[in-house]
Amino acid sequence: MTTVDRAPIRGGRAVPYFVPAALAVLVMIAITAQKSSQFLDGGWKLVLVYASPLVLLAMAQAPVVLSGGGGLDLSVGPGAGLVSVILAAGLIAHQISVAWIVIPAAVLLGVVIGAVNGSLVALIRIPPIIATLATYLVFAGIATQVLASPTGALPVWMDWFTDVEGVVPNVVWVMLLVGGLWWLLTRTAFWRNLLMVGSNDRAAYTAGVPVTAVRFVAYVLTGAMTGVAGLVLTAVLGGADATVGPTYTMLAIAAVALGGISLAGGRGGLLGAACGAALLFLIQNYLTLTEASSFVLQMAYGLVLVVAIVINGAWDRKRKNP
Amino acid sequence: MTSSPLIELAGITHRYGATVALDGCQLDIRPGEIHGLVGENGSGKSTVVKLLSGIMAPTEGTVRVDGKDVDLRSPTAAQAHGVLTVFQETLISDDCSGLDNVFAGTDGLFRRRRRSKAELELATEVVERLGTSPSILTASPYQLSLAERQVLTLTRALVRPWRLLILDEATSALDLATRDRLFALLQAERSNGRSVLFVSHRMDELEILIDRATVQRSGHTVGTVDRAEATPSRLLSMMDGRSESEHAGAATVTARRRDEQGTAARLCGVALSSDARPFDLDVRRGEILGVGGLDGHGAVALVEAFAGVSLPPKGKVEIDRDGLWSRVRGYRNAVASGIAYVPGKRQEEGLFRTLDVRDNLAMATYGEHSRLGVLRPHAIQQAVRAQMQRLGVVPDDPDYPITGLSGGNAQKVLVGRWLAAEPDLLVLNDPLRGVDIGTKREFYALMRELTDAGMTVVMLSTEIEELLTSCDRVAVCHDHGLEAVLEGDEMTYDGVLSAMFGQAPTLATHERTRA
Repeated sequence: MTTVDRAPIRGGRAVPYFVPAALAVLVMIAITAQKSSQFLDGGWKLVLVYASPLVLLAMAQAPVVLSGGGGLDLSVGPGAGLVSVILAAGLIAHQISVAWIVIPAAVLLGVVIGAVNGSLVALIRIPPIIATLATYLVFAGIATQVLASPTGALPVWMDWFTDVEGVVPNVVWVMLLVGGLWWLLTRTAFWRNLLMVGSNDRAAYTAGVPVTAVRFVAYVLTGAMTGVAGLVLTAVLGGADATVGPTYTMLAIAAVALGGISLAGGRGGLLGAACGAALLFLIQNYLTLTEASSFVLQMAYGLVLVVAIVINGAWDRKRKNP
Repeated sequence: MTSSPLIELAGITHRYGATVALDGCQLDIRPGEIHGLVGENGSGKSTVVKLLSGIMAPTEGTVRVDGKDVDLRSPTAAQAHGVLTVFQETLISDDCSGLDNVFAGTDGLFRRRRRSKAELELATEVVERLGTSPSILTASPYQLSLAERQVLTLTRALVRPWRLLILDEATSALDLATRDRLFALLQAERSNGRSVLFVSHRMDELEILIDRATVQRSGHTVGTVDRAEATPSRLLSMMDGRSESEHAGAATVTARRRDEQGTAARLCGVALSSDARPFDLDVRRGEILGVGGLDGHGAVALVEAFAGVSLPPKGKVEIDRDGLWSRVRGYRNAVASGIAYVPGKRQEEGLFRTLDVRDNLAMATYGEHSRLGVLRPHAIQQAVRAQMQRLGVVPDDPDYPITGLSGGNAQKVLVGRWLAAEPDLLVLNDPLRGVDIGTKREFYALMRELTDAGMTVVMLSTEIEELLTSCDRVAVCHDHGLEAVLEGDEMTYDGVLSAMFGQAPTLATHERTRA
């Protein structure tokens, strides 16, 4: 009977959740290639480098959304900004710039940020949207306090992140590393626990799943990825700027919704979030190519998001009433 | 049987804020017995279940397992003592496979406990013993029926090393065949020293299953009786606190007349849930029709059907409009047809807590007090003052914030809002819950006055006493069907209570279309 464990799920989820977003990304790539001959000829590499902070922040957003109960982290943008500012103004400006300190420091700072959010949401039980709005403001404030004006001068090794000489740009390896570690996590019981909590927390609690711990860890994971995004953001910007981080929050949440992750929790994964972010960035890139105004860009984001959420909701309903 | 108890609740008191849900509860469950736990709504049964399942900790008192004091602080702690609970609501996570649902919570936070071959075989065996295909373990729960989902939650409990299985109305989601297989399984497990706490409103189930039963009434433990004594009539008399002989003579208080004035509204072939038995029910003009039933048995659905708030899945609701039957097709349509509905939870569903008494009262009749869409404050003020005097709202001040009123006065405002619309049919959903006796009397008098003037009232109440004293007839729901319509001599405490538990007295007037 051990085969029961691996037997295919009867009918049902024939189409994986991320497929619509992935298809949309392919369509956008085709459209972009039509418009710009350079895109397929190496241009995409630079696009990917500039897109990488958003892609990483969208991936960071996924665990808390999956954990359900209105799970959301508004503070990912300012969080990444704060990490970036502390790295640049706190460590690098004081000649502490070797990779083996800066990289772990980025992740660790992210973990601390995640632990703060996780404590507020999972332990003190403040509704996520309020708790992370508060930390959004606090992180943005601290970042501005630490670094009033943008700074540059990064160590040479950080150029590795923006290098596009290889077959794929180096940021891809960062994303694959994050994705790979996440994949390992989905092999553990945590993944089952996370889906259980996200999809029905009462069922999970009465069955004996440690709901509070699962949600707390989800926020810490989000924080750790926020830290990585902060590091990459520093490299992409070629320095730190306290005002850049906050602009990413709304796009990261939009990307998660676009990526087919249920905003009610329990369904989705990092791949969808990454596809959603890539889609948003490709749209932005295309509109820049066509020299559309930035107002058009905002409207396009909004429109795409509404369409995505309607499709997402319709899909959920269809799944529940086949 | 003098074996020491497997689990014991001693002097348990539990409070929610100022409300005492359990007061000195005593319960002991022996190894190898099926123990029934019965009581009316609000008797404290579900609190007992929550305490034993580790969902809440008692305010006072001790829980003992095998004679030792234990602290059941979480479901995990309860499970560690072998206490497993299956609830009425099927607690299934739709995004995980059936098997993951069954073994949920047995892993660590990260560490994946290996599921042994024996465990997986046990899961399959349990599902098969309940007469269900093992394919539910691999299917996506979205595709499962309600009964199959409940089989999953039962399996979740039964594959763990359980000693006490608590079934909290858990059988209501099962079909009869599955239920009978579950009962057979439980009876077989009894010989292994395993016990069951069986919480049910269904007398027939209790009768076939239990060894002993404990009766709760308003937070107190009335007592525990053995199987031989645990007849439905004995249990019912313990629940309502009268002696069995007293039951026979219990009389009703209200004098009743009328009924020659025709039918004001009727339900035709209405079913309160999609698989319930359809029935007909007429409301006579100028009567007060009481509606009773245990929680979740369809009484709320019945009054909401009259009010057009939620249309029943089958059948039609009709109201008499000057001699013509007009079908109720929804809430707005119901209001236009002269039906007014006063919802149940007045704080959440009825009152506008940020507004004053004036606006809360005038809300439904703004249309009459406006000219070209502009409200006429003076007219509203006059109407509100008149209405407040008629209802006797204290304090007599339209500017008073609604949250400053007592429950009874707030309820008067809520009813007054709809009386101002002068409805033909007033539908009340448990209007007097938590209201003091003085206000209740005023309210009963007001309803009499209104019905004498030709209004018809349908009133749901969770208090049997209230149904008996204030209503002309009482319709009792059971299992989403109409169990009985009682009037005249049939309207006794015992009669209503029995009907609530699906034991309608034989003399009851049944108004069913088909069996």
